[in-house]
Amino acid sequence: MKYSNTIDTISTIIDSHGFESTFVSYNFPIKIATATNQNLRSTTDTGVVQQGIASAIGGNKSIVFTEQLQAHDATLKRLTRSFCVIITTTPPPIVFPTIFTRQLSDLPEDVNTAALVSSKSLIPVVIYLGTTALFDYTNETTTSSSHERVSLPPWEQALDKPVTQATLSDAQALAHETLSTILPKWVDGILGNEIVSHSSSEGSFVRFITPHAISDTCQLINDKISAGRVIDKDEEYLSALLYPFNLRQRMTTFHLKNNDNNRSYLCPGCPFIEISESVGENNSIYTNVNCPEAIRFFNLNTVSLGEFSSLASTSKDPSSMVFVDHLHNYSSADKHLLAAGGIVFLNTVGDSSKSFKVFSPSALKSVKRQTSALLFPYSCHNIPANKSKKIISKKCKCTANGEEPTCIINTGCPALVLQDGKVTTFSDICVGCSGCKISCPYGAIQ
Amino acid sequence: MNYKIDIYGFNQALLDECFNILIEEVTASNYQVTTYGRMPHGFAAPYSLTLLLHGSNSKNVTNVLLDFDNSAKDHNYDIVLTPKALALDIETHQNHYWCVLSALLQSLHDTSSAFLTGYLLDKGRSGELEYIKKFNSSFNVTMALQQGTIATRDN
Repeated sequence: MKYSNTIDTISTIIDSHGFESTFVSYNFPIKIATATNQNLRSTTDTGVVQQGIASAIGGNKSIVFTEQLQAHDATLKRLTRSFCVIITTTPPPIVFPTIFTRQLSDLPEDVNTAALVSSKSLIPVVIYLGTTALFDYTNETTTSSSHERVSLPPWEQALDKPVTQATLSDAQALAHETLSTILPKWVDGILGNEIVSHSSSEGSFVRFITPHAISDTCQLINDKISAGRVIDKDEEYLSALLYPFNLRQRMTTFHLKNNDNNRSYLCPGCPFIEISESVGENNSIYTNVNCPEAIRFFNLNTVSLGEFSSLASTSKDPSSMVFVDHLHNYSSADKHLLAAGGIVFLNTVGDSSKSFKVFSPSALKSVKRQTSALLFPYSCHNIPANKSKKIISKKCKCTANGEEPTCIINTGCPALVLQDGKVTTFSDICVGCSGCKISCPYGAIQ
Repeated sequence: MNYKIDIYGFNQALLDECFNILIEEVTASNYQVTTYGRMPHGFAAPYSLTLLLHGSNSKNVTNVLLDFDNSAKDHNYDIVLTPKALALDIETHQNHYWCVLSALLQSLHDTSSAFLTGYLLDKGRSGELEYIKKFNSSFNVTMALQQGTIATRDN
């Protein structure tokens, strides 16, 4: 009996369900790879859901992996010809019918259910993958795919027309009805009056919610539940949903000891290493890149470009402020936001950069940042694999002097390790980004 | 006889292998197993999950840290099994994973490393077996447990 992890389980699901288009946002916390699906596309968070829905409207079986669903993603212009399943990891705003998957063993069956419901109701269905399922093991990866459309709903003729509110409401009602027949009604499954979000074997959480029936579900939760033990992220979601009922006071939050217990490790070739070196300690870096490791490591401030522009325009010294984000999140229409402060865009190789002026990374220090946007040719998902770096042991003096190695402290790179009291590089991991070379004060890395 | 094991590791492929052997071993010893995964922090962050082993009705739980790559900061556990605590170097060929797993199997009640040895023998991985033998001859886990050298919990 072989157990497989979340990454392998998801890959098996994508292959076995025959998804024709797979969209993965850059910020989705786990790497998605498939054996057979050739149409896997990585893209930015902005627009990934819209791309998936558009693909489903065109008749492709689509699956979307996104870190967070935005409220504006709910704008559905047409009904989907084929099914569309959206998998998200942050408690979402309920814009589409949403299934809550608490354990990895439930995921294959839940994807099946979501595909069936989406196929019947012609609208996308969301799966919220809980924190405990994001890196877990299961021995259940196979599922019978029974999502072929048997009969079309009465609003089938509306497929080629812009969707109306009445049709959408009918579709939501059908989705709710179908989900109710397949999944257990969560209120009946609760042991006693308690809601437990971190294990389906010990209690129950909300199994599904449709926008159609939010108020009814909230009322039921309020009437039925007197106490609860929930994981911090679920608690955020529940308290937002149940704000009018003041349920928060009845909840005990269960913290998973992960946030503080890991040392920080940046990806090999993290563009923030070179950017922070160039910017210097006296300047503050703002970013919209949602990387918890980089935010912790470099003490970054998270803002959007619009917010940064406002901050920089009111600041006394905008030249000390630098904003970093992926170029793909912007178009030439956003040029008016580049008014003040320094802006660095991370670019992917092959992407057009005509809208913005281009500078080489070595020129980062010398550029007048007040007026210009920089284009940095490294992106989180486009780290070039150069020749692995070598360490000249004669020049490597930190460890010889009995100090902590500067390269390891400054870069947090997992490719650098201390072995037998000497710093060495894992050639398997090292991508030759030169981050350690920049930070070594003795020039020992070449 | 109840254990809560926090597992951390970078190498996903080796972690998968170790997890499967560990599960096989503890289920053969009739422990009831529950897993809680954890959300990875970033692409280079270590994978981590918690394993609950139920072996008795008692409410006492022994907290174990199984950290394959010295990546956890907090060592406030009943038993700490890391390459550093076991006097192992983090090797580029990553054989230390097998030694840390072997140390865990020696630390738990009613488990043995029979499945681990059998698995490596079946796969013909003599290098790893030699490494484990070398580790076992240089480091006595049972003795270290008795003396408290791999238990650093602040009681």
